Amino acid sequence: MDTAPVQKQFTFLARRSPYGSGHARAMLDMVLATAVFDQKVTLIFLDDGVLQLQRNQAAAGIGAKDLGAALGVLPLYDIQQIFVDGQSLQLRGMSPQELAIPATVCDSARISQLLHESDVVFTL
Amino acid sequence: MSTLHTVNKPSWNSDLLASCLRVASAADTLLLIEDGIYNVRTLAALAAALEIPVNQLQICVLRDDLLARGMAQSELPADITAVDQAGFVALVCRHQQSVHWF
Amino acid sequence: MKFTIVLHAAPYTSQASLSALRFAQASLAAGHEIVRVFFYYDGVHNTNEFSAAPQDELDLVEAWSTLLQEHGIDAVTCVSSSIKRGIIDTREARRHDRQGHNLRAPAVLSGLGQLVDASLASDRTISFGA
Repeated sequence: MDTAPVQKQFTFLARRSPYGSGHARAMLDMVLATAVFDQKVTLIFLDDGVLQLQRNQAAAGIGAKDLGAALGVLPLYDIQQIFVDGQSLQLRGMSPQELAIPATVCDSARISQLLHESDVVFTL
Repeated sequence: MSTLHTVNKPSWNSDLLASCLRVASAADTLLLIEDGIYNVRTLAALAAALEIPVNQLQICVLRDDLLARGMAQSELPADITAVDQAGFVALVCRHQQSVHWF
Repeated sequence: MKFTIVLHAAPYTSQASLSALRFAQASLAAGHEIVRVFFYYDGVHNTNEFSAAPQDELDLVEAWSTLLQEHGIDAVTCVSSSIKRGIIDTREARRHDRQGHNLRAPAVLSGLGQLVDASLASDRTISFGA
């Protein structure tokens, strides 16, 4: 029997808005669970996923858990590889200077490279 | 290293295909499945509009999904190949990782 | 090769469950091994025993259960996704004081750690969603 590797590079493409569906929350749960298992984690916000990074979310008013605040736990899980697609931000009128959590702005070529460096990619 | 991308929606309904084309690189393969099949007729125009060169990207469609939607293999543009389920599995094996756009 | 298959979508609502099932069948036919099928998010509905399809339609819950059982494939229904969607086993029924339980065997309730674990043990992880 081969023994399974103990560590792999897991990359998460967060592509959904924070409250329109449960996807964003479900992705965060996956990210955190993977980090708990001491895996290499890269998180990329792309398309509507960049909306998760909007500052000053006040989700209590709609009876939801605040996703912007929830993203604040990422450093506690030692997740430092956080990227946001510049083009997706621009298209949605968002400024890289005003994000809920620090994220490295990147372009398509960088995302392409990050995907190639991954062992497992999850999109949600 | 190369990546397999699957896309399951038409480009006029979602940004899945546009984003996939944007981050895909030359050695990658794009497999259109489910409603992603409908992209076959407009993919070239979309890529041109986005100024994305796709000529090096290998593009495939899942044959049963294509036939289910009333399209024939003979209608496919020359640069798009139909694969069966076994072909899908083989594509997964042939690429180091897969990205599923849904 | 060894595969992990993740299903994020409910049966009948989209084509994803069918696509994943057909992919699983084709991988087994090609001689590959499925380390685990992980039912996540709305995918947990694929393990709802209380679901029944009309006679002229493929019963996806039945089809998944049969495939998993026949090939001895490990299957996990994500516990945090499933309880809030009403897919529970006997233990959760007791814990939440519910009258019935409906998790379709051979799937068992467990956490996301089982997905990470399966991905580590697999050469490829393939996801299907809506």
